[in-house]
Amino acid sequence: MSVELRAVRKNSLGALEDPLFDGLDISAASGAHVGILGAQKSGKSTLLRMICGTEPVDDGLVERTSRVSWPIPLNSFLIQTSSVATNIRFVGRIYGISDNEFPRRIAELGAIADFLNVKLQKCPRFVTARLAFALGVGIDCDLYLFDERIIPPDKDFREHAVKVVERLKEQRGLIVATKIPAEVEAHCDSVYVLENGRASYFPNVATAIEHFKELMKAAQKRKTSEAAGGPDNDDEGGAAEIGDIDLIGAAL
Amino acid sequence: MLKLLKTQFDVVKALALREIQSQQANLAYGYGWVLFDITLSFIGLLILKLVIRAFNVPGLPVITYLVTGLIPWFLFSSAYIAPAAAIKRNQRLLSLPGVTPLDLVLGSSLQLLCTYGLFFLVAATVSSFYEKSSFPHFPLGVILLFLSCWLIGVSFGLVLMVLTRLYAPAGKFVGFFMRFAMITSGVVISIKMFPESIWPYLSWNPMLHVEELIRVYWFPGYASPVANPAYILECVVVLMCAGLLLERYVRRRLPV
Repeated sequence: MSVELRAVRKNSLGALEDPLFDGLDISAASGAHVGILGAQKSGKSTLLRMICGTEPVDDGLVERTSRVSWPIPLNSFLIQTSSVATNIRFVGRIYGISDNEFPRRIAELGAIADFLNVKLQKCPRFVTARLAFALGVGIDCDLYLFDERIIPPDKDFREHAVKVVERLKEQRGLIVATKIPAEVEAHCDSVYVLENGRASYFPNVATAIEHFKELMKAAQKRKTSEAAGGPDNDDEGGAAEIGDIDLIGAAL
Repeated sequence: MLKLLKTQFDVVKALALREIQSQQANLAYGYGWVLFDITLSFIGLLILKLVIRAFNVPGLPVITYLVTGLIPWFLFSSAYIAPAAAIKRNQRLLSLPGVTPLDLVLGSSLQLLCTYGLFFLVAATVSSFYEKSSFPHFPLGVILLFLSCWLIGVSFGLVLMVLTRLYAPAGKFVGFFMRFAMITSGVVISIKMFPESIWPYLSWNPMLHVEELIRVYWFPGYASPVANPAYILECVVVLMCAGLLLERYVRRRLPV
C-alpha cells in the first residue's frame, strides 16, 4: 500500500460548521491511478494536503509507505525575485538533489530552458505554471498528486505535457482530485466520490462518473428550489446560492 | 531513523543556503544592516565606557572587552527573535512535504550563526591587534560559549514563540525585560561592579555566565566570581527540551 487514510476526521475552519471529513477512508496502492471526484468546496485540495502530509488531520490515521509529491501544480513556494534556476536548485536541495544538471533537466521538462537564468517575476506568466508542473513531476516520487487538472491548460505545452504524464503513468502512481469527470476518465483506473464528508469507492470509472453526475444534479435541483421558493432567503443569501449553482453547473 | 535525519539535514541545509543567498543578494538590508546595528551599539557603548571610566575593568583592553561581550549578546538577541520571524516569513514553504516549522527555524538561525560568527571573528581579530591584547588563551571554550549563546537564543525563541501564540502581549514584556537583562548580563559592566549582595540573583541569568566565561577564556588575568560552565549546559539542555517539546505540541494545536 502506498497511501492509506483510515477513519480520518477534519474539522471545518468555522467551529459551528459540520466537519469537512468524518470517517473518511481512502487508499491508493503503489502504481495505482486513482481519481477523487468532488464538488466545489468539498475539501479536495485539503484532502490532497492531508495525503502528502502538509495538513494535519484532527482524528484518524494517515499512513504513507512511499514518497508522495505535493499537490501539482502548487507554486506558492516559488520565489518571484529569484531566477528559474535558483528556484529549481532550492527545491532540489530540499529533496536532497545536488546534481548540477538538475535545473537544466527540469527546465527541459517544462519547455522553459530559455528562461533558466531569468528572474521569475520577469518571465511570461506561462513560465510559472510550466515550472510548477515540471518541478512537481520532476522530483522522484512514488505517488504524484494532482489538484484539479493533470495536464496544464497551456495549448503550446499540452502535447509535451501529455507525453511526460504518459511516461510518468507507466512507472508511478497518481491521485487526481477534481470536479471535472473528463480528468478521471482519461487518467484513472478507480475513483472515490466525495459526498457528505466521506468517500465512496468505485472500481469502475464510468459508474463513478455516473454517480457523481447524479449527485451534482440532485444538489443543483435542491439549490434551485431553495433559491426560488425559500421565504427566509434575503437578496444577499440568494445571490450567493445562485453563484453556487453556477459552480455546480461548471462541474457537470 | 538515519534516512529521516538525512532528509531533515537536506531541508535545513537548503533553507540556510537560501537565507544566506537572500542576505547576500540584498547587501544593504542583509550584512549591511547587521554591521550598522553592531557598529552603532558598539560606538555608543565605547563612548559610555570612555567617558564613564568607572565601568572599565582594570587591566583589560576596552574595545576587545566590548567586542567579546556585545557580539555574543547580539547573536543571542537576534536568535531569540528568529523562530517566530522565520516561520512568518517563510510560511509558504510549509506547503512542501518534508518542510516543517522547525526546519524553517533551524535554517534561519544557522544563517544568523554564520553572520555573527563572521563578524565576531573579524571584529575580535581587529580589536586584539589594535589594542595589542592577547588572543583567547582557550579558543575552544570561546567557540563553545559562542555556540551556547546561539542555542540559548534559539531555544528561548521557541519557548517565546509558543507563549506569544498563547498570549500575544508576552513578546512586549520580553522586550522590556531584555533591555534590563543586557545591563545585568555583563555585556558592558562586569559582575564585579554590582553589589555582592545581588550576585546570587543576577547569576540566575545564563547569559551572564556565558559573557563572564568568554572573558575568563579570553583574558588570562580575568577571574569571574560567578561563572559556571555546568549551569550554562543545564540551561541549554532544559531550554532546548522545553522549546522543542512546546513547538511540537503547538504545531498541530495552534497552527500559524
